[in-house]
Amino acid sequence: MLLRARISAPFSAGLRLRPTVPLPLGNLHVPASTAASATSFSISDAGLASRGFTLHRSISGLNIDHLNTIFVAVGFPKRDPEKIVVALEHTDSLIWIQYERDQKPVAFARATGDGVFNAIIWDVVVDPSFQGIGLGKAVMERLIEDLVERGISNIALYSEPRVLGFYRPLGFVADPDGIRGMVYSRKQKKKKK
Amino acid sequence: MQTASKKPKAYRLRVNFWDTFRSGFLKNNTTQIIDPPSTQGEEKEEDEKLPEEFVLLGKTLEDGSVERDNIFFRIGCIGLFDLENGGKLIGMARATLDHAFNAAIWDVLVDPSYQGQGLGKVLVENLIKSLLQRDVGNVSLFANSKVIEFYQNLGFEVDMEGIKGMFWHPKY
Repeated sequence: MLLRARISAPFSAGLRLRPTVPLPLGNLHVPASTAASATSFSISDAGLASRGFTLHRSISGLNIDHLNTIFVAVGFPKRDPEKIVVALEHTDSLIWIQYERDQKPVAFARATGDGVFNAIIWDVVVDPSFQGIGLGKAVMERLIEDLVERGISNIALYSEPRVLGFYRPLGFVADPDGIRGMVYSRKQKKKKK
Repeated sequence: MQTASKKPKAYRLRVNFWDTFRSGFLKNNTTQIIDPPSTQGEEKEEDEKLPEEFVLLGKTLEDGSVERDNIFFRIGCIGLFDLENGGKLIGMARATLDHAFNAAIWDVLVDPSYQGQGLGKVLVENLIKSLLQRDVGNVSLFANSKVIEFYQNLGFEVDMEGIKGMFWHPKY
Protein backbone atom coordinates (compact mmCIF):
# COMPACT_ATOMS: atom_id res chain seq x y z
CA MET A 1 0.00 0.00 0.00
CA LEU A 2 1.59 3.25 -1.10
CA LEU A 3 1.68 6.08 1.34
CA ARG A 4 0.75 9.55 0.19
CA ALA A 5 3.53 12.00 0.86
CA ARG A 6 2.24 14.48 3.36
CA ILE A 7 2.50 18.08 2.29
CA SER A 8 1.30 20.62 4.75
CA ALA A 9 1.75 23.88 2.88
CA PRO A 10 2.90 26.53 3.50
CA PHE A 11 5.16 25.19 6.22
CA SER A 12 6.88 22.64 4.08
CA ALA A 13 8.11 25.18 1.52
CA GLY A 14 11.78 24.52 0.88
CA LEU A 15 11.80 21.04 2.40
CA ARG A 16 12.26 18.13 0.10
CA LEU A 17 9.79 15.30 0.51
CA ARG A 18 10.76 11.80 -0.47
CA PRO A 19 7.98 9.43 -1.43
CA THR A 20 7.56 6.93 1.34
CA VAL A 21 8.10 3.24 0.93
CA PRO A 22 5.16 0.90 0.46
CA LEU A 23 4.09 -0.93 3.61
CA PRO A 24 2.96 -4.50 3.63
CA LEU A 25 -0.70 -4.61 4.60
CA GLY A 26 -0.13 -7.15 7.35
CA ASN A 27 -3.08 -7.76 9.60
CA LEU A 28 -4.76 -4.45 9.13
CA HIS A 29 -8.43 -5.01 9.76
CA VAL A 30 -10.42 -2.15 8.34
CA PRO A 31 -14.11 -2.73 8.90
CA ALA A 32 -16.27 -1.95 5.91
CA SER A 33 -17.94 0.87 7.75
CA THR A 34 -14.74 2.86 7.84
CA ALA A 35 -13.50 2.13 4.34
CA ALA A 36 -12.34 5.14 2.40
CA SER A 37 -15.62 6.30 0.99
CA ALA A 38 -17.39 9.55 1.67
CA THR A 39 -20.75 7.85 1.73
CA SER A 40 -19.71 5.71 4.70
CA PHE A 41 -19.35 8.65 7.07
CA SER A 42 -22.12 9.27 9.58
CA ILE A 43 -22.67 12.62 7.92
CA SER A 44 -21.32 13.07 4.41
CA ASP A 45 -19.38 16.12 3.30
CA ALA A 46 -22.47 17.20 1.39
CA GLY A 47 -24.57 16.70 4.48
CA LEU A 48 -22.28 18.97 6.44
CA ALA A 49 -22.33 21.58 3.71
CA SER A 50 -26.09 21.61 3.61
CA ARG A 51 -26.10 22.36 7.32
CA GLY A 52 -23.72 25.29 6.83
CA PHE A 53 -20.45 23.60 7.77
CA THR A 54 -17.27 23.32 5.73
CA LEU A 55 -14.42 20.86 6.22
CA HIS A 56 -10.78 21.86 6.32
CA ARG A 57 -7.71 19.68 6.41
CA SER A 58 -4.95 22.23 6.78
CA ILE A 59 -4.07 25.03 9.12
CA SER A 60 -4.77 27.53 6.37
CA GLY A 61 -7.66 29.77 7.30
CA LEU A 62 -7.81 28.52 10.86
CA ASN A 63 -8.19 31.31 13.39
CA ILE A 64 -6.01 30.23 16.29
CA ASP A 65 -7.64 32.58 18.77
CA HIS A 66 -11.06 31.14 17.99
CA LEU A 67 -9.66 27.64 18.33
CA ASN A 68 -8.15 28.58 21.67
CA THR A 69 -11.54 29.84 22.79
CA ILE A 70 -13.02 26.43 22.09
CA PHE A 71 -10.20 24.75 23.99
CA VAL A 72 -10.95 26.90 27.00
CA ALA A 73 -14.70 26.39 26.65
CA VAL A 74 -14.32 22.61 26.85
CA GLY A 75 -12.00 22.80 29.81
CA PHE A 76 -8.48 22.67 28.40
CA PRO A 77 -6.01 25.06 29.97
CA LYS A 78 -5.62 28.26 28.00
CA ARG A 79 -2.60 27.97 25.76
CA ASP A 80 -0.20 30.44 24.23
CA PRO A 81 -1.49 30.90 20.64
CA GLU A 82 2.07 30.93 19.30
CA LYS A 83 2.68 27.55 20.84
CA ILE A 84 -0.52 26.26 19.28
CA VAL A 85 0.82 27.33 15.90
CA VAL A 86 4.09 25.49 16.55
CA ALA A 87 2.18 22.39 17.59
CA LEU A 88 0.03 22.51 14.47
CA GLU A 89 3.09 22.97 12.26
CA HIS A 90 4.44 19.75 13.71
CA THR A 91 1.21 17.87 13.30
CA ASP A 92 0.78 15.18 10.68
CA SER A 93 -2.95 15.37 10.21
CA LEU A 94 -5.57 17.75 11.30
CA ILE A 95 -9.15 18.42 10.44
CA TRP A 96 -11.52 21.14 11.45
CA ILE A 97 -15.03 22.21 10.69
CA GLN A 98 -16.02 25.83 10.15
CA TYR A 99 -19.47 27.23 10.63
CA GLU A 100 -19.86 29.32 7.54
CA ARG A 101 -22.36 31.80 8.96
CA ASP A 102 -19.86 33.32 11.37
CA GLN A 103 -16.71 31.93 9.79
CA LYS A 104 -15.57 30.34 13.03
CA PRO A 105 -14.13 26.90 13.73
CA VAL A 106 -16.54 24.72 15.68
CA ALA A 107 -14.85 21.32 15.70
CA PHE A 108 -11.26 20.21 15.57
CA ALA A 109 -9.02 17.17 15.89
CA ARG A 110 -5.40 16.47 15.09
CA ALA A 111 -2.99 13.55 15.07
CA THR A 112 0.75 13.40 15.54
CA GLY A 113 3.01 10.47 14.93
CA ASP A 114 5.88 9.07 13.00
CA GLY A 115 4.06 9.07 9.70
CA VAL A 116 4.34 5.35 9.12
CA PHE A 117 3.42 3.19 12.09
CA ASN A 118 1.93 5.07 14.98
CA ALA A 119 -0.31 8.05 15.50
CA ILE A 120 -1.90 9.65 18.52
CA ILE A 121 -4.99 11.78 18.24
CA TRP A 122 -5.05 14.93 20.36
CA ASP A 123 -7.24 17.93 21.02
CA VAL A 124 -10.57 16.59 19.85
CA VAL A 125 -12.95 19.45 20.58
CA VAL A 126 -16.38 20.65 19.61
CA ASP A 127 -17.64 24.10 20.52
CA PRO A 128 -20.17 23.52 23.31
CA SER A 129 -22.87 25.39 21.36
CA PHE A 130 -22.46 22.90 18.53
CA GLN A 131 -22.18 19.67 20.45
CA GLY A 132 -24.61 16.83 20.06
CA ILE A 133 -25.17 17.10 16.32
CA GLY A 134 -22.43 14.77 15.11
CA LEU A 135 -19.56 17.18 14.44
CA GLY A 136 -17.16 15.38 16.77
CA LYS A 137 -17.90 12.12 15.04
CA ALA A 138 -17.48 13.83 11.67
CA VAL A 139 -13.96 15.06 12.39
CA MET A 140 -12.92 11.80 14.04
CA GLU A 141 -14.15 9.60 11.19
CA ARG A 142 -12.32 11.68 8.64
CA LEU A 143 -9.14 11.96 10.66
CA ILE A 144 -9.05 8.20 11.09
CA GLU A 145 -9.71 7.68 7.42
CA ASP A 146 -6.82 9.98 6.56
CA LEU A 147 -4.46 8.05 8.84
CA VAL A 148 -5.61 4.65 7.60
CA GLU A 149 -5.24 5.76 3.99
CA ARG A 150 -1.66 6.67 4.77
CA GLY A 151 -1.05 3.19 6.10
CA ILE A 152 -0.98 4.11 9.77
CA SER A 153 -2.69 1.27 11.53
CA ASN A 154 -1.74 1.95 15.14
CA ILE A 155 -3.98 4.85 16.14
CA ALA A 156 -4.23 5.71 19.79
CA LEU A 157 -5.53 8.46 21.99
CA TYR A 158 -6.01 9.41 25.62
CA SER A 159 -9.59 9.73 26.70
CA GLU A 160 -11.03 11.43 29.74
CA PRO A 161 -13.35 9.08 31.57
CA ARG A 162 -16.51 10.96 30.63
CA VAL A 163 -15.94 10.62 26.88
CA LEU A 164 -15.00 6.96 26.67
CA GLY A 165 -18.50 6.41 25.33
CA PHE A 166 -17.82 8.83 22.48
CA TYR A 167 -14.76 6.98 21.30
CA ARG A 168 -16.05 3.43 21.66
CA PRO A 169 -18.59 3.57 18.83
CA LEU A 170 -15.83 4.96 16.64
CA GLY A 171 -13.89 1.75 17.15
CA PHE A 172 -11.62 2.59 20.06
CA VAL A 173 -10.89 0.09 22.79
CA ALA A 174 -9.54 1.02 26.20
CA ASP A 175 -6.55 -0.88 27.59
CA PRO A 176 -6.53 -3.59 24.92
CA ASP A 177 -4.70 -6.67 26.11
CA GLY A 178 -3.70 -4.87 29.27
CA ILE A 179 -1.82 -2.06 27.54
CA ARG A 180 -2.13 1.05 29.66
CA GLY A 181 -1.64 4.70 28.89
CA MET A 182 0.92 6.37 31.14
CA VAL A 183 1.89 9.97 31.58
CA TYR A 184 5.04 11.41 33.05
CA SER A 185 4.25 13.14 36.27
CA ARG A 186 6.85 15.53 37.56
CA LYS A 187 5.12 15.75 40.89
CA GLN A 188 5.82 12.11 41.52
CA LYS A 189 9.03 11.27 43.28
CA LYS A 190 11.04 8.66 41.42
CA LYS A 191 11.76 5.61 43.47
CA LYS A 192 15.51 5.21 43.65
CA LYS A 193 16.70 1.65 43.41
CA MET B 1 23.14 7.41 35.98
CA GLN B 2 22.67 4.28 38.06
CA THR B 3 25.11 3.49 40.78
CA ALA B 4 25.73 -0.07 39.70
CA SER B 5 27.44 -2.62 41.79
CA LYS B 6 29.53 -3.78 38.86
CA LYS B 7 32.14 -1.60 37.18
CA PRO B 8 30.33 0.55 34.62
CA LYS B 9 31.29 0.10 31.00
CA ALA B 10 32.11 2.94 28.66
CA TYR B 11 28.75 3.54 27.05
CA ARG B 12 28.35 6.69 25.07
CA LEU B 13 24.89 8.09 24.95
CA ARG B 14 23.94 10.12 21.97
CA VAL B 15 20.80 12.16 21.81
CA ASN B 16 19.88 13.17 18.32
CA PHE B 17 16.95 15.38 17.90
CA TRP B 18 16.33 15.89 14.26
CA ASP B 19 14.66 19.16 14.82
CA THR B 20 15.48 20.18 11.30
CA PHE B 21 12.08 21.60 10.68
CA ARG B 22 13.44 24.86 11.99
CA SER B 23 17.17 24.54 11.68
CA GLY B 24 17.81 23.18 8.23
CA PHE B 25 19.23 19.89 7.12
CA LEU B 26 22.26 19.57 9.33
CA LYS B 27 21.91 17.20 12.16
CA ASN B 28 21.38 18.79 15.50
CA ASN B 29 24.24 17.32 17.40
CA THR B 30 23.01 17.56 20.93
CA THR B 31 25.38 14.93 22.18
CA GLN B 32 25.21 14.04 25.80
CA ILE B 33 28.00 11.97 27.12
CA ILE B 34 27.55 9.95 30.21
CA ASP B 35 30.99 8.71 31.08
CA PRO B 36 31.81 6.78 34.15
CA PRO B 37 34.85 8.29 35.93
CA SER B 38 37.20 5.75 34.39
CA THR B 39 36.75 7.17 30.92
CA GLN B 40 37.09 10.87 31.61
CA GLY B 41 39.52 12.44 29.22
CA GLU B 42 38.20 10.50 26.28
CA GLU B 43 37.73 12.67 23.22
CA LYS B 44 34.22 13.50 22.13
CA GLU B 45 33.72 12.86 18.46
CA GLU B 46 31.38 15.57 17.31
CA ASP B 47 30.79 14.23 13.84
CA GLU B 48 30.87 10.55 14.50
CA LYS B 49 29.30 8.66 11.66
CA LEU B 50 26.16 6.94 12.79
CA PRO B 51 26.27 3.16 12.70
CA GLU B 52 24.49 1.35 9.91
CA GLU B 53 21.61 0.40 12.16
CA PHE B 54 20.43 4.01 12.09
CA VAL B 55 19.83 3.94 8.36
CA LEU B 56 16.17 3.32 8.91
CA LEU B 57 15.86 6.81 10.31
CA GLY B 58 17.85 8.56 7.69
CA LYS B 59 20.30 8.11 4.89
CA THR B 60 24.00 8.68 5.53
CA LEU B 61 25.43 10.67 2.67
CA GLU B 62 28.97 10.44 1.34
CA ASP B 63 30.19 13.36 3.40
CA GLY B 64 28.97 11.68 6.57
CA SER B 65 26.00 13.94 7.16
CA VAL B 66 22.63 12.35 7.60
CA GLU B 67 19.69 13.17 5.40
CA ARG B 68 16.34 12.59 6.92
CA ASP B 69 13.06 11.88 5.31
CA ASN B 70 10.58 14.61 6.11
CA ILE B 71 8.47 12.11 7.93
CA PHE B 72 10.99 11.75 10.69
CA PHE B 73 11.56 15.43 11.30
CA ARG B 74 9.34 15.38 14.26
CA ILE B 75 10.99 12.48 15.92
CA GLY B 76 13.45 12.59 18.72
CA CYS B 77 15.60 9.56 18.92
CA ILE B 78 18.13 8.49 21.47
CA GLY B 79 20.68 5.80 20.82
CA LEU B 80 23.02 3.94 23.08
CA PHE B 81 26.30 2.77 21.64
CA ASP B 82 28.79 0.34 23.10
CA LEU B 83 32.18 1.90 22.53
CA GLU B 84 33.98 -1.24 23.48
CA ASN B 85 32.21 -3.08 20.71
CA GLY B 86 32.84 -0.98 17.64
CA GLY B 87 30.28 1.64 18.57
CA LYS B 88 27.53 -0.87 18.04
CA LEU B 89 23.98 0.32 18.65
CA ILE B 90 22.69 -1.54 21.66
CA GLY B 91 19.68 0.45 22.70
CA MET B 92 17.24 2.98 21.39
CA ALA B 93 14.21 4.94 22.40
CA ARG B 94 12.09 7.06 20.17
CA ALA B 95 9.66 9.88 20.75
CA THR B 96 7.35 11.82 18.51
CA LEU B 97 6.52 15.34 19.51
CA ASP B 98 4.67 18.42 18.38
CA HIS B 99 7.26 20.75 19.93
CA ALA B 100 4.72 22.58 22.01
CA PHE B 101 2.57 20.40 24.19
CA ASN B 102 2.78 16.67 23.74
CA ALA B 103 5.36 13.98 23.26
CA ALA B 104 4.83 10.26 23.01
CA ILE B 105 7.50 7.66 23.62
CA TRP B 106 7.63 4.57 21.46
CA ASP B 107 9.96 1.63 20.97
CA VAL B 108 12.17 1.58 24.03
CA LEU B 109 14.64 -1.17 23.21
CA VAL B 110 17.75 -2.62 24.79
CA ASP B 111 19.63 -5.46 23.15
CA PRO B 112 18.79 -8.56 25.23
CA SER B 113 22.45 -9.29 25.91
CA TYR B 114 22.79 -5.86 27.50
CA GLN B 115 19.65 -5.96 29.58
CA GLY B 116 19.58 -6.01 33.33
CA GLN B 117 22.17 -3.25 33.75
CA GLY B 118 19.89 -0.26 34.03
CA LEU B 119 20.39 0.86 30.43
CA GLY B 120 16.68 1.05 29.72
CA LYS B 121 16.31 3.47 32.60
CA VAL B 122 19.21 5.56 31.32
CA LEU B 123 17.66 5.74 27.88
CA VAL B 124 14.24 6.78 29.09
CA GLU B 125 15.53 9.22 31.70
CA ASN B 126 17.65 10.99 29.13
CA LEU B 127 14.91 10.99 26.56
CA ILE B 128 12.53 12.58 29.04
CA LYS B 129 15.11 15.17 30.03
CA SER B 130 15.64 16.13 26.41
CA LEU B 131 11.93 16.25 25.72
CA LEU B 132 11.23 18.47 28.68
CA GLN B 133 14.00 20.80 27.54
CA ARG B 134 12.23 21.05 24.22
CA ASP B 135 9.15 22.85 25.32
CA VAL B 136 7.03 19.79 25.82
CA GLY B 137 4.44 19.88 28.54
CA ASN B 138 3.35 16.31 28.50
CA VAL B 139 5.22 13.03 27.91
CA SER B 140 3.10 9.95 27.46
CA LEU B 141 3.48 6.35 26.42
CA PHE B 142 1.66 3.05 26.23
CA ALA B 143 2.99 0.20 28.30
CA ASN B 144 2.09 -3.46 28.39
CA SER B 145 1.58 -5.07 31.77
CA LYS B 146 5.15 -6.35 32.01
CA VAL B 147 6.72 -2.92 31.94
CA ILE B 148 4.22 -0.80 33.82
CA GLU B 149 6.31 -0.99 36.98
CA PHE B 150 9.45 -0.05 35.04
CA TYR B 151 7.82 3.18 33.91
CA GLN B 152 6.24 3.86 37.28
CA ASN B 153 9.71 3.83 38.77
CA LEU B 154 10.71 6.45 36.23
CA GLY B 155 7.88 8.78 37.16
CA PHE B 156 5.04 7.71 34.90
CA GLU B 157 1.54 7.30 36.19
CA VAL B 158 -1.09 4.92 34.89
CA ASP B 159 -4.47 6.41 34.05
CA MET B 160 -3.59 9.77 35.52
CA GLU B 161 -6.78 11.57 36.53
CA GLY B 162 -8.71 8.66 35.10
CA ILE B 163 -7.51 9.31 31.57
CA LYS B 164 -7.44 6.06 29.63
CA GLY B 165 -5.37 5.00 26.67
CA MET B 166 -7.49 3.75 23.79
CA PHE B 167 -6.58 2.08 20.52
CA TRP B 168 -8.49 1.98 17.26
CA HIS B 169 -9.42 -1.58 16.29
CA PRO B 170 -6.45 -3.15 18.01
CA LYS B 171 -5.23 -6.46 16.61
CA TYR B 172 -5.74 -8.28 19.89
